[in-house]
Amino acid sequence: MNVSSVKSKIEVDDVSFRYPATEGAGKSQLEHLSFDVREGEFVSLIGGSGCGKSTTLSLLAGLNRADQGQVRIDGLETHAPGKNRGVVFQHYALFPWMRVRKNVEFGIRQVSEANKKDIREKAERYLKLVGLEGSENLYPYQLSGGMQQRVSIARLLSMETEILLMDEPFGAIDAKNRVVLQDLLLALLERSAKRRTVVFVTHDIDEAILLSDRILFMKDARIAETLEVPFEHPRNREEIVTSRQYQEFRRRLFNLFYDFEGEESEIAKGIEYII
Amino acid sequence: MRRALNILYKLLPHALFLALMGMMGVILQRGDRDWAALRPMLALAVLMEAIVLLRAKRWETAGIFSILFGVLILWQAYASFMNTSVSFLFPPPDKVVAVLVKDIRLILHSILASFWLLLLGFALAVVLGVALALLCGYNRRLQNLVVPIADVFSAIPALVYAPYAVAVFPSFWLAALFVIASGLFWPILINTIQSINSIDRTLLDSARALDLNRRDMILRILLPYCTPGLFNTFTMQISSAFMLLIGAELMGMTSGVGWYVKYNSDFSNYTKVIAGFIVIGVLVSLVNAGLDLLKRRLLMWTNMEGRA
Ligand SMILES: Nc1ncnc2c1ncn2[C@@H]1O[C@H](COP(=O)(O)OP(=O)(O)O)[C@@H](O)[C@H]1O
Ligand SMILES: [Mg+2]
Repeated sequence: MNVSSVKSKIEVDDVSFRYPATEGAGKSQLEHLSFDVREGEFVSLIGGSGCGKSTTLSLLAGLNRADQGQVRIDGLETHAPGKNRGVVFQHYALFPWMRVRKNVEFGIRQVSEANKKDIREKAERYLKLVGLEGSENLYPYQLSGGMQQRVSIARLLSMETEILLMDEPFGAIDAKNRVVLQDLLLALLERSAKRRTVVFVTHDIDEAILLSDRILFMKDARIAETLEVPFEHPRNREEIVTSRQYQEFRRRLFNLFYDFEGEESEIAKGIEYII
Repeated sequence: MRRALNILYKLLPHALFLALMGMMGVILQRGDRDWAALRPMLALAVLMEAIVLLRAKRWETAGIFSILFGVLILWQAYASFMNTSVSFLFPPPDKVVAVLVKDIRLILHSILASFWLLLLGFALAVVLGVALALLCGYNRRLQNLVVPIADVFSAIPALVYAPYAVAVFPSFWLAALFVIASGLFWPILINTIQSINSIDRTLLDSARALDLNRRDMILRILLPYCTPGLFNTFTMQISSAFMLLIGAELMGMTSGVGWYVKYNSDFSNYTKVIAGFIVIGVLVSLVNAGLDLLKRRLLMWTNMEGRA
């Protein structure tokens, strides 16, 4: 691909960040982090828990502000939330006083001038897509965790923002619905008329491969490795998973992720200690 | 044995109803009252009997109404058939009921006046308390300034302001409004500040990520978030609000249920005084029921059974 033909949608430029609450205690949560996301690209962040994935996403969302360096969107420095970005949080964050339908409508209303009826129809369409037809009039407390997360996914998708920031969106969802939702997300992005840019946090290697164009492996508050995913769009789960290329790529990622040598010795030490 | 007791229990209110009616018959016969004077009491007794019949399925109905009938019978018997020297202190229930009917316009007017004062006091305290709490939520410095002051003021029983308020305000009504509102204002302020401070991080981030304007942030997010706490404060403060209200009315108002009692006490019209007690009881129950209904409507989204 001709690099100059596709512009950067998101630029993270030498960003360092520390939560005020951790002042003076150990390392910063992000240290000299740099990466670019091209327009229309799907980038996954993977890495062990606590390595700073959610923190990175919160900076992209404009919820936190870099202490040093810049986050740029469309070339402009940003440090506040904006209507061009939609977020799904790791811990589903519905408004408990709004019914399911209202939660989705409320999101659409923020980014669209459409009339009440259109907004309502759109909300219903997306709720149906995530398999929640019939739950529109329930309150969040009446739903299971996985169902609540599907509502917040419906809210994000229905907003049809240029940038989607998703923090382990399928983590709390049962295995069957997870597959359905992965395929749904893939299809929506591939068929969408607008080019949508996605930054996606996950700890599921297979999910990262299936969905991403590029995978950033995070470790100790920085990007340790960048991997281009060698599959063309449109993608087909069946074809990808059964290919040899997939097995090889998966093994590479797996070794990165679990860092076997270190891990084993830690476990061995632990067991020794217990015995 | 058990069954027999059960049947007796169910029959008891009907027997007592008949006894009460019999008693009324005797009173009529003796010529103590004419038919017209006794009509309200008879109507009340029949109404109560009708309720017993309609709600016969509920176990507690028979018990509650047996007690009510029993009290009426004993009271009526004592007042009508014992010739005590202090009979003006113990008006018979039929006279109290008759007064309730005769004075109904004034009584309704008094209820409305009291209710209006209470509502205005609540509204004033809620609007000012919540508005200031929201300002404190947006401004740490203001909060650090307000909280210690609120802690001191909320510890002072609002009733002590009453004499001073009467001196300061141009009318007694305004003074009463001030006392009621200030009794509620501080607890509402403190509670709402605490609510806003403890707002769930993810919820707030979720709202911020939607890039809401200030207005939506306040009306659609912060206010609904604060309502459960607000209702808790209401429930805790409602009885002291009634104390303040009735206290103010007893002291110098010229309307309201408290005034009705005080005014008639001054004329030693104890029939009306006792009617006033009943009216106050009804008002308090109505307000409590209304608050409960409102809570049920507005807090449908909380898992009320779960939180209990
Ligand atoms: N609000 C916060 N205040 C202080 N420290 C935080 C906060 N959120 C996260 N952290 C810390 O920042 C580090 C990175 O967290 P996070 O970005 O959530 O990791 P990840 O999403 O990769 O699991 C962790 O050590 C975590 O304890
Ligand atoms: Mg995380």
